[in-house]
Amino acid sequence: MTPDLDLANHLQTAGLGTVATDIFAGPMKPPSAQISQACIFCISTGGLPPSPYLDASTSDYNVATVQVLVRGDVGAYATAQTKANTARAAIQRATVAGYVAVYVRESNPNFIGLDDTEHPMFTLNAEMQWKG
Amino acid sequence: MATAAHTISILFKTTAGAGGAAIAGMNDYSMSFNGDILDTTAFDGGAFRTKMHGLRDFSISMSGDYSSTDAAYGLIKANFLDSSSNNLFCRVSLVPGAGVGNEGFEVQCLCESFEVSAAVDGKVEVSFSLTSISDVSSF
Repeated sequence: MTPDLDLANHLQTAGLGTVATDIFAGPMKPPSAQISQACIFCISTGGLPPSPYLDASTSDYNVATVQVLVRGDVGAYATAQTKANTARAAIQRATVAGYVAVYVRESNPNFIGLDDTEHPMFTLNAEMQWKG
Repeated sequence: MATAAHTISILFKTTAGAGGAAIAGMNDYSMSFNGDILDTTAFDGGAFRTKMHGLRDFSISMSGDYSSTDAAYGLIKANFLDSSSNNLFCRVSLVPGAGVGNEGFEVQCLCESFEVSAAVDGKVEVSFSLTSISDVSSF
């Protein structure tokens, strides 16, 4: 499973952007000619230890966490916040193929301040659970 | 030597012998051999009690995550609903590959309870209690 990429694809399906254009699975990239200012980054942040089942097939119950970082345009705090809230709503109780459950860990996005070039940034943390 | 529990396989079937449907989603299992102990102390005996075994039975309980399409669940449910038509055998391999007589136990049983529970922020969970209706064999 690739929870970061799967979540990025889910956010694309939810209409929040396009994977590899303004939604990325992986580390935050600075704005450039190829990378928009307003972007979403889905970053793998580990998770809980797998819980094994009593069977010989080595199946486990896994809980991975993915941090969703929403970066807005310079001066567009409210727009970025709205986008982060839309992402939060899209993540909570999401139906994503292959996953048992998807939850968001915050009731409201975290505003973590402005980056070095004054883009507002919000974060969310998603919990993605699957058996495998 | 310690033995890892995650390799335990719990099989259900309708006849005795090898094979069966491995139950899915279990993460907790216990079994218990129980025997009645009869006091046989004589009134004119010595200072210590004497005892002997009476009837014995075997019970199994297990719990885990609910799996609606699992074949083993179907066998357990069928036994609970109509045990006269649906025999249930449980074959538990505690140490797969340990050799004849050391691997595990098999018993014919009845489903005593089948409980499903769900917390809104958790998973649907299930627990089973089984009780023996035959002697226990090792394999």
